[in-house]
Amino acid sequence: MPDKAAYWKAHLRLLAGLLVLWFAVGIGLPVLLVDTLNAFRIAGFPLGFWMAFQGAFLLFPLLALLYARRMRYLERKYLQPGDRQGTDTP
Amino acid sequence: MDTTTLIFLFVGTSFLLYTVIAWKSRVSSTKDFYVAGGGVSPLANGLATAADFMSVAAMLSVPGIIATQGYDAAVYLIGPPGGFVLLGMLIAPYLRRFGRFTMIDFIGDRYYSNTARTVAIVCALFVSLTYLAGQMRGVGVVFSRFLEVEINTGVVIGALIVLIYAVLGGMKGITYTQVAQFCVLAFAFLTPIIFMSILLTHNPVPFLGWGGKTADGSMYMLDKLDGLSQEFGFKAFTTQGKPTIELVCIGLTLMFGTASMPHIVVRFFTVPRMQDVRTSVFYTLLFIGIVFLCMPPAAAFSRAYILEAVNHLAYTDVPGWFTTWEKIGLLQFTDLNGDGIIQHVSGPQNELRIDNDIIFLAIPEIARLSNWVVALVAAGTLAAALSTAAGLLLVISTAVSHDLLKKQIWPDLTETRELQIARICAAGAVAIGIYFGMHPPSFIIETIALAFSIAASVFFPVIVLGIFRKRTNREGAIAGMLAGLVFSVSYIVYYQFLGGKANGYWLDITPQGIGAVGMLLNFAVTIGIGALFPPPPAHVREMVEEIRYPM
Repeated sequence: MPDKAAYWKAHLRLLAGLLVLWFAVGIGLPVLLVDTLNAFRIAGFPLGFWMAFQGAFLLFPLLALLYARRMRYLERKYLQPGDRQGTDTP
Repeated sequence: MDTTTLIFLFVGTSFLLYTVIAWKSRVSSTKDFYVAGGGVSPLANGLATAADFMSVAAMLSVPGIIATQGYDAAVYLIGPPGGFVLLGMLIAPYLRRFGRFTMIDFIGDRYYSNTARTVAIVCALFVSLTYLAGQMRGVGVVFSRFLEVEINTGVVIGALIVLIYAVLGGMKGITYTQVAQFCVLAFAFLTPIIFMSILLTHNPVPFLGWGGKTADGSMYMLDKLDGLSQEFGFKAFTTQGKPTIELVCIGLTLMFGTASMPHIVVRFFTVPRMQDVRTSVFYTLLFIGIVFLCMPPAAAFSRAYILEAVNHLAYTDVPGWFTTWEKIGLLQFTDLNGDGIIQHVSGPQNELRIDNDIIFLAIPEIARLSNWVVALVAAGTLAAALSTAAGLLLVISTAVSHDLLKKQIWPDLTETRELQIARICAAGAVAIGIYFGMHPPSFIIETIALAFSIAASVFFPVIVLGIFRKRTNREGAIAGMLAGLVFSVSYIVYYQFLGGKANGYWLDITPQGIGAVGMLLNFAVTIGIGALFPPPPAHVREMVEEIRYPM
């Protein structure tokens, strides 16, 4: 039996978590905490500077991938219980 | 072969390729024309979106801004990918599930109001037209520099190519040419940077190389750049110069603006299902990330080279690229102290003015790379300009043919007629593009900042609230959009065009960053004013419920 209400609730929880990560990757680490992070130096880069100019471009795709995968899982769990194939069979 | 022949060959071949693709994907239905039939694979859409987003302004201006501002410019790069993450989580999947043709369709139907629809049309047209002006100008600059034709001739040639595939194939033609264009532009962008990295750091991977030691192994590349910058009186490359609040606001404005740019949002209407939208956003971020990863090293290499090699050089000894750029006015040397030696420093003694836009274009020549790399860069920059221009043209023509005519004035328009009108509007939009390219407003960068601020402060809140809060009603949304629009536009117009002084900025927020504040205002007004009016009718609440689930 599909449980739409539970699906939406789980989705909102997931979104809240990811938005916190989004803020950390986009603003928190590269701008707000840049001086703190710059105290560390990795592979020639001050860490805060690296987060701003490189790290964000590696972490943002990971966030998007994580979201897509979790949503597939939530859809299978709440919307097609019993159908192990899910919606995304080719 | 000499450089000009090679450039003609590369640019000509790439244009031929786009035309062939356009011919093969010509369409005959409005669904194909507006959203490529909704059958594009997530991977192809990811490539196309990356090309759509990578505008000629991003490719030329951003490396230049990084070169001169160092760390402070990072927010210009972080903004767009951050925006795509938001778009993928908060906007695109639900609008795809909604299943109409445009973002304006959603605003009009969700807020059951043609007033809301009209406000959205006006803002979408404004955002897209200002953006288009920048693209057409870029096409002109590239043509005039590399092919030595008149800027106006260049604009017309570029526009005609776009015309062919936008009018023939609509969104379908645009999608598949954009896929090809991304490949061309990424290859063209990365090749010179890789060579430059090998030359300066002996490391072929630019985004590792610029953290490592310099080619002679004596010190870290970044320390050398900081040292050089300070020696000549500039801010060190790796440190922060601007107030934190200013950087945060610019970053947020770019994020919320990117997430609600009409030409970006509509790209995700072309994939089959909700889940494909999410996958496609991941691919987009991956492809944009590859280019963005290499942009800061390119800027750093170029900056270090210019500071070191050009300073203290006698004007009679300047290299060939210096003279070439000087001729078209993007480089200017004024011998203030009359000693015949170039002095590039911070402050009034500076004798060399370098236009931001040439930092990237000059790399192949600075690094003395072969002719074919120069030709490749020319083809790549044109690909960036044409792909973005095409996406914008489609939004402009759809806003008129679909959102204005079909939805409001002639609801009984047949599909064949609507398609004809859409093609005519696309041709009309090309004509406007040509006009802007020939008579560019002198304030392109400022107006592009305006475009992001308007997208953020008008569209983002009402779309997100429309999906996540059923109580949001027509009255609130219209008031919110107008409040965001009026607030952001008046702040920008006052400080950019009416002579407002930079030291009068409210809380240090520059006009580039005001969209973030306008967005918050829109959220507050939409909810506040909305509370005074009745909730939306039942069928709208049902629609909102429906678009939240994949089936």
